[in-house]
Amino acid sequence: MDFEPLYLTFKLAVVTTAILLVLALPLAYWLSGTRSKFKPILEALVTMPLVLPPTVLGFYFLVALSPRNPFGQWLSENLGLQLVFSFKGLVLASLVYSLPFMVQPIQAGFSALPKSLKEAAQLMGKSRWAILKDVLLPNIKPSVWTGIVLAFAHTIGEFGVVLMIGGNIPGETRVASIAIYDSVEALDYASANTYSLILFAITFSILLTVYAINGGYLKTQRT
Amino acid sequence: MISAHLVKRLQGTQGIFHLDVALEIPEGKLVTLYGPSGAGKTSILRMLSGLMPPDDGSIEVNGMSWFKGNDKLYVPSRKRNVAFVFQDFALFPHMTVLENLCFAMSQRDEKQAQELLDFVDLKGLQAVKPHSLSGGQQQRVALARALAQQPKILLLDEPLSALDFDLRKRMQHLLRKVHDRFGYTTLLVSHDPTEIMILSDFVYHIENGKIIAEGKAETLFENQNTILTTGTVLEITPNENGFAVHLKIQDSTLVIELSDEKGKALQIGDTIELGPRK
Repeated sequence: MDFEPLYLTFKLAVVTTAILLVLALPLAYWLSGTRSKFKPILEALVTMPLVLPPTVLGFYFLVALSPRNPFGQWLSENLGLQLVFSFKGLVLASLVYSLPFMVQPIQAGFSALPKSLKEAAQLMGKSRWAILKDVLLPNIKPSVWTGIVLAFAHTIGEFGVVLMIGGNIPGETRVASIAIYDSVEALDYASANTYSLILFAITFSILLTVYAINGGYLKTQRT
Repeated sequence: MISAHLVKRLQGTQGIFHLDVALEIPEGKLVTLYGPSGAGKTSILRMLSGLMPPDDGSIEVNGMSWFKGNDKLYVPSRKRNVAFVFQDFALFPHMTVLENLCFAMSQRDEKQAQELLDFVDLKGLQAVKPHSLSGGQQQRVALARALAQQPKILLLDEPLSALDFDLRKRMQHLLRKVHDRFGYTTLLVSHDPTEIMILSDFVYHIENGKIIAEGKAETLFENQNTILTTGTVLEITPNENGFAVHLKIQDSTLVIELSDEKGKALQIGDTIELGPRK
C-alpha cells in the first residue's frame, strides 16, 4: 500500500487552505463593504469555479501555463517556474478552484455584522487593521472556520483540475483521488477501497467537528 | 462650540429630499434635535461624526475645521474623537463590559473604566458579555463606553426609545447626571417632549431636512400651535410629581406628567385634547 498519494493530498489541501485564507480575508472584507461597480464582476469571477466543470478550468490552466505558450514561457524563463505537471501548478489551480469556498462564507460573515460595530470602532480612532483584527474577525470566527474547512475538504476532493494540469506523476501530482481512479483502472479494488475509506473517514471527521463546534454542541450548556 | 452648515441629498421614505440645516452648539451644552422619523436627524449626527460625508457646507469645532465643501477639506471620523451612542448600542459582542470600555479609551485605564461603570450603576457586571445584559443595562454600557472615550462631542441617537417607561425615566435622570458631571458638548436626537424638557438646553425642531423652529424647550413647545391633537389615555401611574399618563396619539404613544388634581380626573380610555399652553 502506497501512502504517498494520501500524504500529497493533505499537503496540497493544507498549503492551498493556508494561502487561500491569507488571500480570501482581505478580498471578502473588501467585497462585503464596497460599492464599487467592479464588485459584481469580481463576485462572478470568484464564484465561477463553483459552476464550471473542473475540466474547463484545468484545460485553460494547461493552455496558459504550458511552456509552449507565451505566459508559460515567460514564467519558465524569468521565474524558473514550471507549473504544468508539478505540485506548484496543482497549488495554483487549487487556489482558484477552491476560492469561492473560502471567500463566500467569510464574506457572508462580514456582511451579517451590524454596520454600527465597525462605525463605533472607527469613531474610537482605531485603524482599519485594528478594526478588522480586534472587532470584526473575532465576531465572524464560525464563518472563517467554515471557509477553512470547506476549502480544505474541497481541495481534498479535487479530481478534474488535478488530472488536467497535474497528470499522474507519483510523488509529485498523484493525489489520492487520482490514485483511486488509477487503481480502479488497474482493477486493484483493494487499494481503491483503502484510499476511499481513509478519505471518507477523514473528511467526515473534519466536517463533523466543525459542525459540532459551530452548532455549540461541544460547549458546556449555559442556562 | 460647534458650528455646522450641512447640505445633503437624502433618500427618505417619501422619496428624495434635501437636508439643509445650520446648527450652533455652544461648548458644554446639551442640544436636542426633535422631529418626526425620516426628517434627517440621524443623518445630521452621522455627518457631524464623519460617518456620512455632506454634499456641501462646513463643520467647525472649537475653531478647527472638520469639513469644508469648497476646499474639499474632510477630517475622517477616526480623527474627530466623537462618541456616538447608536440606537442598537453597537456593543462589541465578544468583549466583556469592561473590555468594551477599555477598548474605547486611547490609554487603557481599568480603574477609570470601573469608576464609569459604578457611575452608571453597573457595579459587578464588568466581566459579563453584552448579550447576557438587559436592554437597559446594555444602554448604560453604551453610555459609559462613550464617556470612556473622553470625546469632544457626544452624540446620542434616540438612546431611550427602546426602553420601557420606568427605565426611560431613570435613564433621563442618568443622562442629566452625566451631563452635569462631565459637561460634554452633547447632541441628542429625541421624539419625547418630556425628555427634551428635562434634558435640553436648546432644541432644533427639524422637519423634512429643514429647521422649522428653534429655541429653549419650554418656549418651543409652548409656542408651537402645530401640536394640536387628541390622545387616548392608556395608563395612569402615580409618581413623585403627580401622575404619569400614557397617551395613544395616532400611531404613537406619548407620556405626559400631570399634577395630582388633573391626573385624578382622568380615566383609562378618556380622550383628551393636547394643544399649546394658554
